[in-house]
Amino acid sequence: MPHFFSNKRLILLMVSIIVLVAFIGFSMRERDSITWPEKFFRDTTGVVQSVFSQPAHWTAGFFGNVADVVHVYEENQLLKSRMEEFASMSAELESVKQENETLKEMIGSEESLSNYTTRSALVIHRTPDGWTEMIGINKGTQNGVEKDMAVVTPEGLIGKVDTASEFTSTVQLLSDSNRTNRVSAMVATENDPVYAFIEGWDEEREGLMLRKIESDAQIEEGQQVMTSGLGGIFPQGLAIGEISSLEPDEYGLTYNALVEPAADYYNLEQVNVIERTSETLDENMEQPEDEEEEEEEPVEIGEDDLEEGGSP
Amino acid sequence: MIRFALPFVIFLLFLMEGTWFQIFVPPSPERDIVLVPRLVLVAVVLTSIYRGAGSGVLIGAGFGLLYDIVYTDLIGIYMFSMGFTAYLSSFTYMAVRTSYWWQFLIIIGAIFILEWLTYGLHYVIGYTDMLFEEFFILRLLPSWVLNGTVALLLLYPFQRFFQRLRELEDLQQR
Repeated sequence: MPHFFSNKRLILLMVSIIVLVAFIGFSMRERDSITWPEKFFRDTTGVVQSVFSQPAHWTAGFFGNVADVVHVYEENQLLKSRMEEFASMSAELESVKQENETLKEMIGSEESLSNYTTRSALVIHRTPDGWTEMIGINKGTQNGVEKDMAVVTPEGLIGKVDTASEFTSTVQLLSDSNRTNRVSAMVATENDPVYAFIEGWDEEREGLMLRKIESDAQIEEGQQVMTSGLGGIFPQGLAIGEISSLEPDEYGLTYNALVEPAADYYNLEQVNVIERTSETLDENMEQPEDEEEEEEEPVEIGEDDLEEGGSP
Repeated sequence: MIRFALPFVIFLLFLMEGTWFQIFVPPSPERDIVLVPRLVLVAVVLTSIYRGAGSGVLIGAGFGLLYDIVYTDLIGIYMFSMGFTAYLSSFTYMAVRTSYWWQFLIIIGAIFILEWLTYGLHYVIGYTDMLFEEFFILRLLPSWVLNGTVALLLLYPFQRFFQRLRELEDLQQR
């Protein structure tokens, strides 16, 4: 039985608190990539996790199937009623697609923000403590996954790649309440689309928060929210959810909306990592950055001059 | 080889927390309470009871660091909390080693310390704005029930495991 907090131990405790603060400070800053020891531990654990998770998914899937069998009749009735609707919808979709193709040929644009390639990945873990909403997937930079790529399930967008190591990556779900968790979104209205940001999860009302909607926008409940493709790496038109309620923000200048997510963030097994093929927007974005850098230099010189002028 | 037996067993528990538990008991929007498995903590506390504060803190901080790296983006929180909890729960008396009740009580106390420390640290750095009352009802009480039950199931196997480990180590030293 140790003597709690004798002098030597008190010093040890102090040192470990300092180490703790240093580690937290190191990992809280915005990092472009993670350090190699982190990558090593994640990849090694990830290999074992892949082996562990596959049979578990099968078993869970089997029990899920057994539960499904009970509801087959009701589901069948519902789906039959939807079937007719679907036939007319798909015919409409085909004609719209063809029209889109011809229009694109007319204006001569081949690339669009909505083109992308997908890579499927298996979910190998989920953060057990509920403080952050992250999942791990078994594809990494070796498979072409990079930071900030969009991650989707067939129902819609679920999050973005937070960190990527060689063979595994972690995905930050849209429901994560971190302040940096932000996605550029748009609302499909009858006129022009309305652009806004998805900013995390509302704990009390259980929905995604869509913020900074312009006050003159014509937004109603039930409208579809999707990615805008303006954020840089996300493609355009991935479903996020639909608006369930709308209210002015605390200053009355913009609107906030609550979005009911289209995808299920809870029972995840297979997800798709999306890479946008079009680079059109990025090229346009690089130019103003260069100009800014050029502009910055004279400003710095100006400051130096001021200091020199002020010192004597 | 025998020295790797304990880390290996705890590593399996570590994987169960993140993979199996999350697949079979997925979080759901209908449920307000947060069920957090703390299998590694139970094993770490038992380690520091049966093997002393030194190896308890070593195992606790080591697996805490692994937890930080693999499951969260913040390094340090679990490393510190697990090491600290392991140190506080190192009651190495013979009376404790032979009594399941004492061990169970110590584990319950350790769960409180760990949950409270991690909640406090997340609160301080602004990752959560949950009030203490909410934390107590939504997280601590469910965690006590869940992990207390798990601890009751693990107490006997771990006692046998540590006895066997000691015997094998004695054999090796001869």
